[in-house]
Amino acid sequence: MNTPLIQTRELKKYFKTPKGMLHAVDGVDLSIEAGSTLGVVGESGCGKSTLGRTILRLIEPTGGEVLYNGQNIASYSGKQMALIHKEMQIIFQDPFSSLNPRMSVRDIIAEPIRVCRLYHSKAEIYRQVDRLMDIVGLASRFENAYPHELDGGRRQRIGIARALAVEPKFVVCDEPVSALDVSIQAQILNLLMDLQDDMGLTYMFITHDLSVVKHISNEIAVMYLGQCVERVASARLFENPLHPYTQALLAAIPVPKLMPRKRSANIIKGEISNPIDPKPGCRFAPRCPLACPRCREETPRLLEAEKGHFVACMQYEGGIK
Amino acid sequence: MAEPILKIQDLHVVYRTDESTIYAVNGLNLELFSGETLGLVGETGAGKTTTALSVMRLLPERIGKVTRGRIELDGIDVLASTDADMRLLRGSTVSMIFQDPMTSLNPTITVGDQIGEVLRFHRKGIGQAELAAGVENMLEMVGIPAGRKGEYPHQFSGGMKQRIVIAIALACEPKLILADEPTTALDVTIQAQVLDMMSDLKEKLNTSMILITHDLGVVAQTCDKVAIMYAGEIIESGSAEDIFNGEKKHPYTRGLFGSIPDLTKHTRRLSPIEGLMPDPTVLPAGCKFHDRCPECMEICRAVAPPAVWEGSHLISCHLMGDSGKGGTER
Repeated sequence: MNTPLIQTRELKKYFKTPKGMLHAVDGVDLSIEAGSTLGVVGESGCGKSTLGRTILRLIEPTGGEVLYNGQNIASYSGKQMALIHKEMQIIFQDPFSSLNPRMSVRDIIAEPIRVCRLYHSKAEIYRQVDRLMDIVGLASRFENAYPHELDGGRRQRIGIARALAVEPKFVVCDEPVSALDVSIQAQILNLLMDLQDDMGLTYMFITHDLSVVKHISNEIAVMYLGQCVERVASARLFENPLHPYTQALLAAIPVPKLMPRKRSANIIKGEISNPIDPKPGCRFAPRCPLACPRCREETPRLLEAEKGHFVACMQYEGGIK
Repeated sequence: MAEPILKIQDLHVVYRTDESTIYAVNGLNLELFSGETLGLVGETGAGKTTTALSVMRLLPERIGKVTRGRIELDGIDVLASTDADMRLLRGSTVSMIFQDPMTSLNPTITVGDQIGEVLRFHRKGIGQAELAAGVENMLEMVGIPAGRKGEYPHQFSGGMKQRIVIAIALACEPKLILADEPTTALDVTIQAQVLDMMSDLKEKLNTSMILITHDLGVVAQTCDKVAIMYAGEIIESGSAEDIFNGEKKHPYTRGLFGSIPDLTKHTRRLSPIEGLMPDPTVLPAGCKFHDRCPECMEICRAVAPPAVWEGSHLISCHLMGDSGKGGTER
């Protein structure tokens, strides 16, 4: 097997707060093959965005390794990182706040080209901008428009064009569609999938919406309070979710079909607990319907329950029963 | 059948600014009976919130204006009521749950006082003990320990804040609740909890509800009736069965369903609706959906589609009936 494009080993990011250490990302191992998509799913506050940003080193990791093409970039200097950033880009969640309101669409997309010195003459840069706008489906008449003149879907297309401007290999998509209406959401998802096919991109797709990642991902990692609790091929996750949290997450998705309304049984109680100085033990235990005393003492490790299906839960320690 | 609790006839609402006039709601008809839940579905800018604000008479002053139509709430003509009358109506007959629980609570007042405010206003002369009991009762009802009534909004999580907003809305047991995207800002597991609680409370208190949402999944789980809005008009409405299981659908509704990733099927590509909602300052002639519609015909560009009824199921489209000759023209 080839070296995966991206790999993390025991990646950790803690934030110092007045109340103690906030464990935003706590020992995450994952790997993404070139040309594939890893979906990262979890509720707000589970550390999924921090994970994405730590991999790009937009946030410095507290511990662990990030391997890009087999090399540990966590120890790279600023200069070395600048070269790597040409190959790793990010699309942000909120198309309203991630674009500079005082720059025209053309300048926004041209900025990374200028920063990375891909082209030097104005004519070449603008030709490249035109090409990018065409790729993401923005009419060239918007070239001189400012972000506030455009709607959310078009703004997100600018964000995508900007990320692609330096011809990256790896793109972190941090909730790129959650601020958009469903019909626009589908347009953007289709666009991202087309771009992947055409340019051989590798995605890490962060979202809270399981139904969105199903379509776009090859593999899905479910996160809970800074830890990866389940990791498996996308289709398999929906067929056979193993972790009680994944099961609850799937049960909570409102399905647009009429069904008998008996849902109370499947709803998990309580809310995500505090990630500041967590106690040992499974972090989902306080909400878990199956929690046993051992869950509150030992932290379960992410183990292979069946081939290619990793889950961090005591009940699957000896494989699937 | 009894009189409807809410009756909206031919409602037109515009927003006037110095530069332009935005046609937010264009001839909307709606009826809601006691105990029913109506899902009002549509994209951003379809006029869902504007409709709710018109019922509450909370449109932004001077800018927002009802230009035509009639709103009858429990037999009272809302548009003809005085401001003082409206103040009495809000909270006791009709309440609204706003989308964003983070911004709809006052951060400087304890949650207990914020719930108590409604009771104090609508039940004049209520005693201290009775008030405290009322507040505690409401908190318990939405699943928050009564002991936390002295805390401030920032001490609660998003889901808890939305529960408090719901407690405020329900404090005087209104006959109608307008819930404007009550769960959009919440995580799915919390959304499930809140929706479940709202359905329970609605049943217990026998209130009617209009649930404004863009999520057809939420509608399927909570609503009896559905109305789908596009560019300020209801383009399809009916019972939940009509909309979800009906054979005929408005092309826009079909597009909405096509845009939602289906968890049970494996398709790689979604089938979205191409294009964008029309600019509400210059609405197109004929059917407002025509330039995005995959089945657009000549007539759609010129003539507004008729409302075609089939039992309780309404579809405004030239494809239904005999391309415009059937049904009743608006």
